[in-house]
Amino acid sequence: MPADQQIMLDLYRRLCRCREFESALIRYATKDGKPVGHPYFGQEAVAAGVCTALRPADRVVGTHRAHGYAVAKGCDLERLALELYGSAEGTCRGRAGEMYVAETDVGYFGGTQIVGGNVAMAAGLALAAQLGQLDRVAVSFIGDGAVNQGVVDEALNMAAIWSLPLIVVVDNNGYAQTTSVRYATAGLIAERWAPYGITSLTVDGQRATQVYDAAQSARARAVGGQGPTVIEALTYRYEGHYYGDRHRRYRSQEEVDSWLARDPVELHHQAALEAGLTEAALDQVRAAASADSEAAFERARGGRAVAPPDLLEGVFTGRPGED
Amino acid sequence: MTAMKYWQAAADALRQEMRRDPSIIVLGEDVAGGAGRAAEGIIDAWGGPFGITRGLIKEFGPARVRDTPISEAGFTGIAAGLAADGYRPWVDIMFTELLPLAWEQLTNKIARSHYLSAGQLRMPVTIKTFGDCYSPACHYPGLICVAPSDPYSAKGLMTAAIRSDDPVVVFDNLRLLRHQGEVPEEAYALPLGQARVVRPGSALTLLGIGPSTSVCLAAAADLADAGLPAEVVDLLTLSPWDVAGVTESVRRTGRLLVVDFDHPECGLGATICARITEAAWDALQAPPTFLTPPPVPAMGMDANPAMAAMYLPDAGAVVAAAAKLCG
Repeated sequence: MPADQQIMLDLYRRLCRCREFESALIRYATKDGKPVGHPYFGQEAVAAGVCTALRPADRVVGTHRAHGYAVAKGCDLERLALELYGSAEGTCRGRAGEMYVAETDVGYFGGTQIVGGNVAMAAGLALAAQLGQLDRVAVSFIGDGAVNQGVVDEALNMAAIWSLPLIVVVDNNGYAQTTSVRYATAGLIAERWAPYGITSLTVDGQRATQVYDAAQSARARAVGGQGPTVIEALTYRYEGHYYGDRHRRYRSQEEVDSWLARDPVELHHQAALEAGLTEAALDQVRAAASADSEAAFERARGGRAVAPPDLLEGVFTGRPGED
Repeated sequence: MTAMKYWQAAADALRQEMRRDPSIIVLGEDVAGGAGRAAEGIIDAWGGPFGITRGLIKEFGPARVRDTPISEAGFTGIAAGLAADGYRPWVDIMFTELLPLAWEQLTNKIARSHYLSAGQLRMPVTIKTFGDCYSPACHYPGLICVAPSDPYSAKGLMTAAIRSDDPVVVFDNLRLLRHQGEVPEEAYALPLGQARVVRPGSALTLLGIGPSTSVCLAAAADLADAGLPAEVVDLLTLSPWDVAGVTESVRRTGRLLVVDFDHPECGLGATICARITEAAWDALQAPPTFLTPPPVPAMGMDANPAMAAMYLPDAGAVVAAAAKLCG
């Protein structure tokens, strides 16, 4: 299989895993009375496109809308499902849930409730890569709402003056909770940090290949010592801010429909066929993603519940500073 | 042993640890000074607040001694990222008044990451700051807070903070900067979580926190003259504090007076009194109490010595409160 076909297939695999994992989450969680959280439906091409361009050791941090980032970076689906079900067998022993789950072995360093807060941590992960002279970058996914938090600006300024290998990916889905980006954000997101000398671009966030290309160039610049990049990906969340949010109060049916017509999984399916991949190969990928997700939540149902010792253990490392 | 000022002892700890551990990275505003202008012959132009980091850039270079822009939240978050990837950042947050700017990163990231990630993320971060407003940080499980009281504890606790795999906030104090004391030349770490008895006594326990310890010692001398032998305990670690050690002292003396220079409400003094009431109830001869500045929105009042003298409890106030407790 040619390299570009391999990339098309990998993109499709990540897209399908993001989509199918959340589909299964909603099916199972609503039945079992578990929280669904903040679905990433509709935005999958952003996480999938970026993470396909990354190396396994590259660091990724996310936000509160974290399922997509965790799945795309390669977190173990079974342990992730267990985590979302609050099981002691989860990725973080059931402590972190959607917003803080981290699996450092695959380079996923967790999300946060503070929408822009993780850009600073990502800059620190990027500084660690730079100090170690490693072929490694740090990626911070944020939303359009986060661009207005001061810490994002502080972190990007330092990333620029120190040429840190940092990529900030703005999932611009048009809304910060219910607040439109057109209301809340002066100027254009992709132009905001360009005056800092930061390479900044806007891509079609429904096209995984566009996102992939942008991330790959950003990665090459970052490890080449050319500093950070801001990628604004124009996208849309199909659900509300959280599952069950009555999002039609602030979004018209026409608007929702116009985005549904450009579904990232379908668009990439089409592009993959055009690149020469077969329907059968793609079906197999999607079926595997579906089966893996299904199996993850079946497993989550039987996960060991947390017990009182789980609550108290590990506040500190247990290693005091004495010599 | 050698005679050192408080600030020299703290600086000594940092320098010795940086020599033995290349993963220590110093971050903060003007920790070197005149950054980025080595070509003009400008290097180490300031050396951090009160010179504690002076000279480090010449020995360890600009990669490890990093002047930051004025971005407290940003560089505290950078410290979290460095720590998550195996470094030991040492972060200068000049004064406690600046700490709220970094609060989100300090509490949500640095204090919580080890627990929330079930041990995957470690946060061996030292945050160093000057000031009396320590109680808010003590509120957060996952953070260790310390307040040295003299040059010996300044060096020993700074070393312990740097070596700790858990995050430690070091509350230094401007009023102690020029205090002199005997300090071992070699590196040593004081145990985190342990108070120490600095003057034994039997009539009551005076509990000092950072700079209030020397006030307690002065008061204890006066009380001894008046026939009241006070025991002075130096808390050293403010969170998680030494409940067992303080309880043991109070069980011996039957009385507790905490001298706390932070604001009175929801503070460390109140917490300690509540816990000791429970832990030493049957041995108490008077209600545990705490002495603080009045609840006015000021901190230290160092800008005006006359107001500071009215604001902070002094030895006379401690003597009066102690006499009342023993009356």
